[in-house]
Amino acid sequence: MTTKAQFQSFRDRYLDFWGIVTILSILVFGVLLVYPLIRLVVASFMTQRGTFAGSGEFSLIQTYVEFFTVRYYYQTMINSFFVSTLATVFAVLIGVPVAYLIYRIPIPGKLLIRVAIVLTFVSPPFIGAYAWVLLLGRTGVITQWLQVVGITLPSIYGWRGIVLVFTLQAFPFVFLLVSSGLRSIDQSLEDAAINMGRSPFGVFRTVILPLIVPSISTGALLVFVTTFSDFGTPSIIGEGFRVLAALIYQEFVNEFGGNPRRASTLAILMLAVTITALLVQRWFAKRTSFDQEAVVPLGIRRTTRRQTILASAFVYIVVFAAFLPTLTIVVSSFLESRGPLLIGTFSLEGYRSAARLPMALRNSLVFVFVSTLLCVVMGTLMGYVVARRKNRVTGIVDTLSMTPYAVAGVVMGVSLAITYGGAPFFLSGSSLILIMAYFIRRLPYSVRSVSGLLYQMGPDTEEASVNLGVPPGRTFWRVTLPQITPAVLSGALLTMATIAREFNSTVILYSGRTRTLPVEVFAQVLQGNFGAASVVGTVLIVMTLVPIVILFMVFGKNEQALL
Amino acid sequence: MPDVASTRLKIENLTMRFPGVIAVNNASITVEPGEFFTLLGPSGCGKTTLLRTIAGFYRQSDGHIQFNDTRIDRIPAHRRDTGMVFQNYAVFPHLTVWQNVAYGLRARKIDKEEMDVRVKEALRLVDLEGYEARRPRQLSGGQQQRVVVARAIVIRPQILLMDEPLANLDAKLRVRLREELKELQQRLGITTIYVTHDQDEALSISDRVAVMSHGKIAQIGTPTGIYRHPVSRGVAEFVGEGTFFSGKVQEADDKGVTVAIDDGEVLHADPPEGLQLTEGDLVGIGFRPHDTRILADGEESENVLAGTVSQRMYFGGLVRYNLEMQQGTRLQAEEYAPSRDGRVTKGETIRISVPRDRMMVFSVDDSEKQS
Repeated sequence: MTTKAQFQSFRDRYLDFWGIVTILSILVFGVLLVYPLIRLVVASFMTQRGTFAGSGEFSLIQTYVEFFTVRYYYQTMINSFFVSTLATVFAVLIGVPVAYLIYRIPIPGKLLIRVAIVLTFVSPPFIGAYAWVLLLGRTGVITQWLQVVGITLPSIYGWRGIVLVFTLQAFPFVFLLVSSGLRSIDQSLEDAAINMGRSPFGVFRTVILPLIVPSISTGALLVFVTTFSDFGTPSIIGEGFRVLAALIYQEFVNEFGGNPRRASTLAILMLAVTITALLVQRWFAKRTSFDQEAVVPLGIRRTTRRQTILASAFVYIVVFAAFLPTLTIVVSSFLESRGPLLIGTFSLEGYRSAARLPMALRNSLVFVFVSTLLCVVMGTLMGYVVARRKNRVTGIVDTLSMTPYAVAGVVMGVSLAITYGGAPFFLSGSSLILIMAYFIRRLPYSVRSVSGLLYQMGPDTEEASVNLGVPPGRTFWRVTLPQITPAVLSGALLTMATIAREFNSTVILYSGRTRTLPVEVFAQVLQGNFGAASVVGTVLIVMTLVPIVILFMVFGKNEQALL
Repeated sequence: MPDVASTRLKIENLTMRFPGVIAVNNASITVEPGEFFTLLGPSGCGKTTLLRTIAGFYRQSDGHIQFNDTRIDRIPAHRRDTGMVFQNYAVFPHLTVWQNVAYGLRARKIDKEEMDVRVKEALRLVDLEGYEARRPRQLSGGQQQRVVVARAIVIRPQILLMDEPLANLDAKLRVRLREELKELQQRLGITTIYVTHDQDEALSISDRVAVMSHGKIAQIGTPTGIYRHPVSRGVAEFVGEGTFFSGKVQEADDKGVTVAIDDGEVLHADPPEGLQLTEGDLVGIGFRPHDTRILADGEESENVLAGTVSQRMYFGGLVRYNLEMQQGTRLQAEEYAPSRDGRVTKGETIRISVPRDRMMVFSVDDSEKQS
């Protein structure tokens, strides 16, 4: 065979439309994920002048040695572990009972409770921090009331505040996963345990709890990883309690010129922690899961009035505490303000005078729409090749699409900035680099949701179509796409909400022209303009809420869709 | 619906290898035009793989497939012109019943008028007139399966392929639908390959059956042929119940064979079809429980075996006895149209007889020889 003929037969076999999609997938992940991460590793070994570090003080691993020997650096790691671990423990301690009680006990107003939890879940990450400062800070509303009565609360600033905000912000992870775990337990298991003579609590401890351990561990992992890499909350409420994510930001975006080498080193250490957490959890979940399915799911338990009241009180207190920040932001946005002080009179002045709001809103909208569109289109095509065109290359795409939790926003931001910020691309602070970041952060979810759906659907209808004479290419448009469209659209809405609140990577990558709503809220908070922060924050809450409301109302989804 | 030009299917030495497993091993089958041909076997025997290879979803590793005189090895699935009925229906959930049935006609660029006529006709044939505008989720399982059958026949395929089409339906509906399928197939005269693991279904519906096991075709024959003259104990046990012994041929001529079974008894049988036996050959011999007759005290007959009743089960139309012979071998016997609880009670010792023309004799499987 001649070379030309060989090429032609190669082209016929592999370079159909899906072959091109496969190549494109590899390119996308290569350019936006793998290569930046490699550059991040390389950067952590390079001197400021861009050469590989040599011996002595400029040794290859100088910044790593520094990190583990200089207290200023390693303390942040200890601090991050400390607050994230505490937040994880508390989130589990709150999330598990709330999920179980809502699932099993006739608590009034369940819909309201679930809406509140969803609101907490989708509200921008650090908004809780700043809201709690408004409430319990030095000049906070509650602090002042209590002072009148003569009570002084322990300071909200520092690690206590961080843990409080992290816990309330992240317990919905545990709540959502445990709720879905409970759905897979069959009523007959509980009946059997009762039949063998267990008390209600005994049943919970010996049957239900062991069966939801995998769900709890997944929830705990998500709490740990998101809080460990969060930068906004500790910056606002930490006051000198410095965490790793904040240190990365400081080292990278320094007034006196950042130190990319040190920032890279720190980012890699963070990556190591999140990847380790992920692997440990996966190993643990594998050992503890039973792949069960419920024929008759657990029903509502019959309870005494007293039990119902106690359970309701507990759930309402937790949910109210979690929801309070959102409420505070919205209410305070309609109050007159003077710097950090909010005055209790109604006013729309905040909205009228929010100078940078229109630009931030426009930026957010553009970024959200463009990156969602990219995610949906690429995610659908890539999900299809992963599920239906199995080969070694699509296997790699599948593996790469499992990375989103492992690579935190800060890490993604730093690696993209190092790779494409400077020469020869000069994308620093551009809209393009932000869209790249949002796209690659969210793309894996789209890929996985589509491939998961296709696995679940099975290839039967597509085969039926081919069997009836429609070639595979057209079968995709006529049979596959119509069937997955509802799921793709609901995934798109979720993507919009998630990208709208994205902060940790934005804060590394944005510039004056490209500031988004979350960045603007953050900037206003740091400048002490609480009124303006509330105004922008409220706009942001609305923006994340609209897609969620559509998702629930039009697509008939419930909070489980958020997972 | 006008007659479909019938197609002869010829499969030559077809082998289908997947990494680490040979799903179909050197299978050769010829299906005559208009024949209802069933692939029967336990799950994992390769029957569905063979069917999907005919449909073109897999490309065989070796061998050829021919429709009439045309090799179709290289023709992609969407141009093979087979109509397939899937176990999980595979009805398009986003299309109406009418759109589902018209789907294959659209692909064939059939004009609107003819399409209307043919869809209507197909829906009439499966008894779904009036359901045109319904969505699949508004239909029961049985109705969905009818839609899929209509969708497969409306394109007048060269070959109709059915992959356990009734497996997901409840028992009564299954029986009714299989009668309807058979009737429809006969009316259309369309060559049909049917895959099932249910031997009742295979025996009752097929013109011929291929029994498959571990990727190989163990036997091809008419339902009577495979039921009455199985070529191996594996086939005998898969297509029906029975009691089986291994033994050695004592005498064999054109009048019959005499086999000494392991526990000392001697059984007589008519000469088996297609099996040349000589003295000393190792064979399997057995009978079906409904071919037994319980002997009255002192009554003499051929092929008499005695045993103690260890279990007695009443089925309404018949009573099933499990017997234990003196040497511990178990037998199954049946009594039909029993009056009251049947003639025999548990613990009794009875004698049964099996007519020699009902004895099954087969050569010993390779696997049995080894063990």
